[in-house]
Amino acid sequence: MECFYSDLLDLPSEILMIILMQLDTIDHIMLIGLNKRLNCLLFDLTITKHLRLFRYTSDGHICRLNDKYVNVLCLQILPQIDRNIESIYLEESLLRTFYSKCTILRELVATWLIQHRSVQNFLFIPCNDAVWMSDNALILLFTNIFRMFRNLQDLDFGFSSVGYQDLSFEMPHRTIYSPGSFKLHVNVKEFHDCLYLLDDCFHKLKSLHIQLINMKHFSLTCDKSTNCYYESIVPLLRRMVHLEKFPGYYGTVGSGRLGSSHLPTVSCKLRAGNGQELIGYFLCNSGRNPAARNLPELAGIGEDYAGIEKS
Amino acid sequence: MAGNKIKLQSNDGDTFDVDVEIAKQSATIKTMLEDLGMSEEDDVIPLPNVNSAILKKVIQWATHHKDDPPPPEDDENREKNLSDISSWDQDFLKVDQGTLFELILAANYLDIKGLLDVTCKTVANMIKGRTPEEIRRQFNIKNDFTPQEEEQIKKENEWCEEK
Repeated sequence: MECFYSDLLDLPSEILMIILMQLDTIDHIMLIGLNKRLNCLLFDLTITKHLRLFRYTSDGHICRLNDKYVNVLCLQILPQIDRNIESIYLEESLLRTFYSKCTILRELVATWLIQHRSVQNFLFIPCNDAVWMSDNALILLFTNIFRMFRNLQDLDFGFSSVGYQDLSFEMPHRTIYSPGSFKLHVNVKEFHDCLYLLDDCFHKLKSLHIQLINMKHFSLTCDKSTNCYYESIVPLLRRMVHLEKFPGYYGTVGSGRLGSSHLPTVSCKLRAGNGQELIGYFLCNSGRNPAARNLPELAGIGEDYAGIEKS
Repeated sequence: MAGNKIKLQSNDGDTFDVDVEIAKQSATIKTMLEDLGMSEEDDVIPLPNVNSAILKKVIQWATHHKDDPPPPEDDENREKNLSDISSWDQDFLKVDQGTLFELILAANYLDIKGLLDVTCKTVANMIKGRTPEEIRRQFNIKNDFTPQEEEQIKKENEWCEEK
């Protein structure tokens, strides 16, 4: 069979783009510097607007960039694509590399990131084999993300990953830059960390997902037992004056205050932003039990709840 | 049945009788039949961009996939999955690199999304996980940087390799 197209670069650019779009950012980095035409395609907006700087292996682990390619990324790629990027998906060890391992890299990246504020989506995934970070280091990362990406619209700070860590704002912390309307997915340690986020940091949150104010939708998951349900959780809910939807709470409430129902719930009345009264029912369950997270809307169980109503 | 067949002619003159429904997996041919009013019985559809050997392979692929559901619309946010190539397609695409590229071009010209998708994924799989030098050798990618540009790249890399 006679073939006229024996080399990859004999293919038209339109086809090469289709092939390149099948590859991850890590593969794109491997191709940089091989050929001028290929470089042009690799820096095209279509390719560079979403950067995913890790890859899942077939057994679900994260395959991270090695330091050599982190260098290439910082020195050759980021400076050329800074206006294109809309999303960055990072894993923890790479972010730590940016910040701690190499001073020159840190400065380069910091310079680039500070100049470039158009990133809108940021997913941070703790690496499976990463060393546990101190609370301080974690807060530093969290606050720096807000400093760097001023146009952030959606931040997932390890919320969706398996090996996440909880944020704690107990110690003296830096001021967090508050972006415009955005969504935040985060894990925190204590209820007062929720209050800190709501009261002191983010006045324009559209959606807050915490495993905790213009917030219209709210869900809360907690694996700690509390006997201060009415003192700590209900006041928190009452501050969410724009709630439009039943709040749901999956956690453990001290059993002494509950009835004997096999599906114990407690409730409180809330005033919605439009003046309408909402009644919140809170299912007591193990907060991090995956089954609890998948329960249907709590409205359905409200009719036969056996809890205590306290308006 | 003659009414259900169509004649496709390659650029080297060979003619292939193909079921209309199989041929219509090509959006290009479908458009010719439906919009340009070409009749199925008599007309021969010339395909000047596809040679006989490649056209034969394309017909073989389209015949095997004739009952497949339509491929999904492109979505840039969809998770990339290079491992979802059926074993039949994997065997079908065990061809030399030149033939693979010709199949990609034919799929693009004939607008057969499923074939274009699977052939491009096969090339992507050949790139994935390889070092730059392996990729250069595999695809015979020529270094077209000027000596000055190359020197500059080397210099930058040396500088960061020291860290």
